[in-house]
Amino acid sequence: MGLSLGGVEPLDHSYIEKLRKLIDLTGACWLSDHLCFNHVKNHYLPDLLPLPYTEEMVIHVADRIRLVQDALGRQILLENVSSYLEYKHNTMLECEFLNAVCQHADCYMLLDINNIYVSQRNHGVSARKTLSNINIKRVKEIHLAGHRDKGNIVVDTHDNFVCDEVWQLYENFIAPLDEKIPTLIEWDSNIPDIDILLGERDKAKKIMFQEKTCKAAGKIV
Amino acid sequence: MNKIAEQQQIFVENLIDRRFLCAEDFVSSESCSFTERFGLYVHNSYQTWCNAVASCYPITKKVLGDDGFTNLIAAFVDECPPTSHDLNYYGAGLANFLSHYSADNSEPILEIHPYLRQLCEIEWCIYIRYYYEDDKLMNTEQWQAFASCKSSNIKFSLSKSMGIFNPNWNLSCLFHSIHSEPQHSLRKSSEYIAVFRNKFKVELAQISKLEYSILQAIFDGMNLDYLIEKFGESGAALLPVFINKHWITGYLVCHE
Repeated sequence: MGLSLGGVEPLDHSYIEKLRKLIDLTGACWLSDHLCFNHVKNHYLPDLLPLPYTEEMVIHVADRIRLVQDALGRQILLENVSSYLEYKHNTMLECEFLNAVCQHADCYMLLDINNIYVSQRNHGVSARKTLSNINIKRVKEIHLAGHRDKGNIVVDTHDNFVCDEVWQLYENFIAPLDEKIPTLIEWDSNIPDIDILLGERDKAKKIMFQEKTCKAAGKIV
Repeated sequence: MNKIAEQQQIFVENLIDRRFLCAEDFVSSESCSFTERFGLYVHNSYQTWCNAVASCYPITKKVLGDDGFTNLIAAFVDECPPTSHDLNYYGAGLANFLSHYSADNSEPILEIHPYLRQLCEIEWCIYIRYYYEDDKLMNTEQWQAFASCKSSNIKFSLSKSMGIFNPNWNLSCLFHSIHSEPQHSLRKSSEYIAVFRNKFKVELAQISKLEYSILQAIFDGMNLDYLIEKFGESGAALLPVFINKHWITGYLVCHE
């Protein structure tokens, strides 16, 4: 949405009002924005700039999300971003930060598993461990995407196949869930033929239904 | 200023100015330098801005060629970064920027392509009108009421998605040669152009001087009395034509 939820500039209430009208018009199930900042004074950055993972930031973002939710009259989803820089003064892990913000703001989470993978690779942390500590009850939607692995850094590009590691993380994450979580595959640059996109969609579907079948048969995966 | 605000301001200022001077705030890594990591944010923002502006000016790009156009857009983005989060409106100032850019550049592009500024103005008009809502058109009843109206104190409303131009160059040939090589030395001859959006399509049409003058007078809020006095009955006869073309979308009988 571009609300700069982690920013310090006053929220743009005329923009929020437009969003509210758009939701009414379209009957959108959810409205989501990223856990980042992108507006400082008269500068608007078309990127998802990283926030420090601190208690102070948890309170700051959560307060702003509450204001947005009050204005919209509904809860929103908060999406984790890919990051290439890690603040020195972080006092929390990414998963702890995400959980804390969602809890304090009483909002839900749009979990981007590719972003988790990209960030964790860039900062040398285990994505599997991060995902295992995410509060599943807050997750209402999942994003998957492709990225570019440049060796010393991984870049979130949305222009590629979802990689095997991300598929595996997705499979592991949804395995213990009782309900299916809507999943979106983001591929918005260098868009391939529709058959390739449908192939990625089918792969996600297969993982979802495989889990459902196994659960129905009482099988533990 | 609190600590969060200060950190964010430093981050963004370094990003905009490409100074890379905020490394002490971040964890250092042997595998990948701060410059490379921070550079990704710099690159993403600049690339997105450049793409946003470039998408508005396809003909200008053809005229200048890939390198010349890329240099122009990069200079514009450097000089005039966006001041709104809505990038649909970013790039409006390129025509104005050209004079300054051309004067400072070792290759003065406005001397080589003197029509470029007017071309950019028309390209922006075409681009931005694409996002306009279609106008509500005059229906048959309104049309008949207008035709039988005895009052000459009528003011017309033109389509909000319309723009008119009177460039000093024959630019419409450039637009019509978009799929072929553009002509770099255009014939200098004044022409009249209307840019109009209708049903998700933006069209560019050459119009006569009379049509241009009437449209301009309507834009300026002149009433039917004035139009007849200024352009005569033949001018007034064009009004139904404009209605049929959906350029005039309504009228108001003024009681002064």
